[in-house]
Amino acid sequence: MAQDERAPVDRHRLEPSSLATHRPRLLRAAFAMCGSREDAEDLVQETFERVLRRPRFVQRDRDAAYLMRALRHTVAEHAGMAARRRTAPVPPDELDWITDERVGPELAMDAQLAYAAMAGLSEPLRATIVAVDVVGLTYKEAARSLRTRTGTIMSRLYRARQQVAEALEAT
Amino acid sequence: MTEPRRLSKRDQAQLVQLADGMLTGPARTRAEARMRALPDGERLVERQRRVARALGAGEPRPTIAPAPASRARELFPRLLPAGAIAAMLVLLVLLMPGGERSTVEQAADLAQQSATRPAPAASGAVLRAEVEGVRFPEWGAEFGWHETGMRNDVLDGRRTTTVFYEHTGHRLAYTIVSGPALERPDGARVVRRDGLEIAFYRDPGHGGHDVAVFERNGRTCVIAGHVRKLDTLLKLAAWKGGGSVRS
Repeated sequence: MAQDERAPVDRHRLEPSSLATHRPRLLRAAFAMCGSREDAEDLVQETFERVLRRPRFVQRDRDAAYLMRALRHTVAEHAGMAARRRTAPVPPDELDWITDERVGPELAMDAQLAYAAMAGLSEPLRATIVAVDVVGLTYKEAARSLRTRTGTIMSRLYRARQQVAEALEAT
Repeated sequence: MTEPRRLSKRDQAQLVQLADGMLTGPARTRAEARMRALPDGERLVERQRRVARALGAGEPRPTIAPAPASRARELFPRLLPAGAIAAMLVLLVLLMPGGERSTVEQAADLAQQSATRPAPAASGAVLRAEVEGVRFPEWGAEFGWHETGMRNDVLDGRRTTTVFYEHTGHRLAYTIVSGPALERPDGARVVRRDGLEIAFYRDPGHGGHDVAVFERNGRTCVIAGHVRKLDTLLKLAAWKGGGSVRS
């Protein structure tokens, strides 16, 4: 089998096809960060374009962490989107696209309320809960991606979930 | 409602890990003891799980449509009364063992069945149960998934043994199929985890089972059931038990 000599043994090159598998979760992550589906789609698209602009070799099983970091960079450069989020939170009933269509109605409702509640989190807490619960990174991967310690990630995750849970219970 | 008092960062970390099933062995025991010592500790952990479940609800999983129902419908006139169609479907299923579901899909369906025998005893990282030399893993110490029972079946002429595991109200069935390895289901997504190729998909039947299919020592293994995170299924499938669980 032909092998790209530039690729280290335990790394692989990010291809458009492999990016596509991460698109749904990145879209939800972008939405959680900017609060608009249209903006989220633009942010993910721009992130993919940047990533594909030149060959990227990523350690296996770390595609999601890499893409999450790239997405955060893109979001940071479009701070206006994040600002709009805080002034215009999305009502839960406009979030039906956020869940897999096969989940039950109770869980779907919880998901919609949870996404809406994330608008009220501080940036560090929101970034943490997005990294772990939306993108699916491990604590360690999230810590690396957000440039902090694993213990801090767990503590922030606890507080973020507690705040979101309070919103769920209040409904 | 807010928690009665602010927890230390250490407590917060323990509760998060407990909620996510990340602790095993003595660390898990300590965290559970701490949780019980906290006012409303169990409720705090359940709140963590509720949010994690909700935010993980968008994770797409490949779905394989159930074959028999769709194919059978094509065989019968659309105007036939529903009752008559149902009766004919039952007859069809009886005449064609397993309908048109593949052996792998039938093995995944065993997750809906009850155990008929007690759980096998543990022997280190494996259980005292095997199919043609392939033994079942003992996940209790490492992951908190405890074996609760087992059953034996024959699917399409192949002997199968299934061990059931439970963890925090979730149930998984681990089936090993005798004979040469089976074809992976069409449409399943394949990932490589710790050197093991695992095909996974969601079966819309039974309320949406997650199914992982892989080979160990040339035999097909199928894990099916409900898990909060797909990663749990992949982690369990790939676990080698320090070399005791051969792949």
